[in-house]
Amino acid sequence: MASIVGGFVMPHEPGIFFKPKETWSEAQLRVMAAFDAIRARIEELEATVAVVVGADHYVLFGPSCLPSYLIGIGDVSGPYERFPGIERDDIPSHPALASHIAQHGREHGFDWAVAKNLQVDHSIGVPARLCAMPTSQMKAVVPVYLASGVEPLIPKRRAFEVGQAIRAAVQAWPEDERVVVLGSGGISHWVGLPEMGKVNSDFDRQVLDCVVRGDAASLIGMDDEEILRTAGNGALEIRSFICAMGATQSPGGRLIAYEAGPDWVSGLGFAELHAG
Amino acid sequence: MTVFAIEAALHDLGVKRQARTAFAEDADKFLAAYRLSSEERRMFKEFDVAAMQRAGASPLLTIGFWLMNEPSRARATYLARLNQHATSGEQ
Repeated sequence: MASIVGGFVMPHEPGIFFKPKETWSEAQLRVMAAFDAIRARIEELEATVAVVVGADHYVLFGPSCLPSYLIGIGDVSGPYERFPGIERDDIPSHPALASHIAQHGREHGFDWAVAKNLQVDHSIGVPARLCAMPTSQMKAVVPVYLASGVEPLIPKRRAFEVGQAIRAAVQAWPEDERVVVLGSGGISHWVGLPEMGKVNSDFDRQVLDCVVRGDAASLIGMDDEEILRTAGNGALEIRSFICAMGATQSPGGRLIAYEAGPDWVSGLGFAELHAG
Repeated sequence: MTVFAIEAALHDLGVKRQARTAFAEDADKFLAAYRLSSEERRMFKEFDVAAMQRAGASPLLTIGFWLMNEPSRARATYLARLNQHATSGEQ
């Protein structure tokens, strides 16, 4: 039987990845060390599948079709953006398990949108390539997109429930797989708005504190208008964290790193979610 | 006037190379394919991203439009343009 053995939250801000290695600052080195730490924990957990939960940035999905939550059930590749040292070709997928998650969900009140061919963006492609794919037991990545950047947004409560649905489907999968769930998103940031470049570290710390305490209810209870006002439109991506918390049923976890600074436009939070 | 047409054109100009080429070659001809008012067409031709946002367009699309189509293709000029309009809007 498959099980969820752990989870993580992490950022995907492109500014982290555009810089060539020789130009990395001390802060950038700490950020990269945090990705390394997550990769090491995935190795220790002997994970065989990574479900990576990301956010579309109004690129993969356009005005003609905006899914509330979508899973890649077929071929996966990416990220489509070019970053120094990061491959962009095929990502090993798990069509059987991903299709099972979609179908299990549909039979239990979760009408997944599916993609049979999916070129992921940086929000999924970079965590997959940096943290999951290099580990020795990893066989496949299952991409999940939540509507957390483009309105209409998935309600935060529903993001948590989608995580729970992923967990239920994984537990109903008859084969032995050790699954980790990666919630990928920035914390405070203002994407494309006049405040772009500003962060709210107090908000970021508050979010990470909830993650580490396993307090999904407080994150779900945050008002979106208040998040927009105090932490920017990019902070709505905490839905990825909430989904990962729903999937892990995390009783708590540990902070791995937090960074914010002039090198980036968002607060960067890294934490582990212990599996409940 | 509809934000849906603005977002449709913005999305195409963000992700489709052919659209960007067509826009650069003949903006009026390109924009005629969308249900845009004359004021909305002006927003595109003048890269008036602040007006687009005031009309309800997603900031994710306006920044993508700028970075992929405006000659400077720079975040700094994008923010300067947004803030310039924010300032002038307050006057």
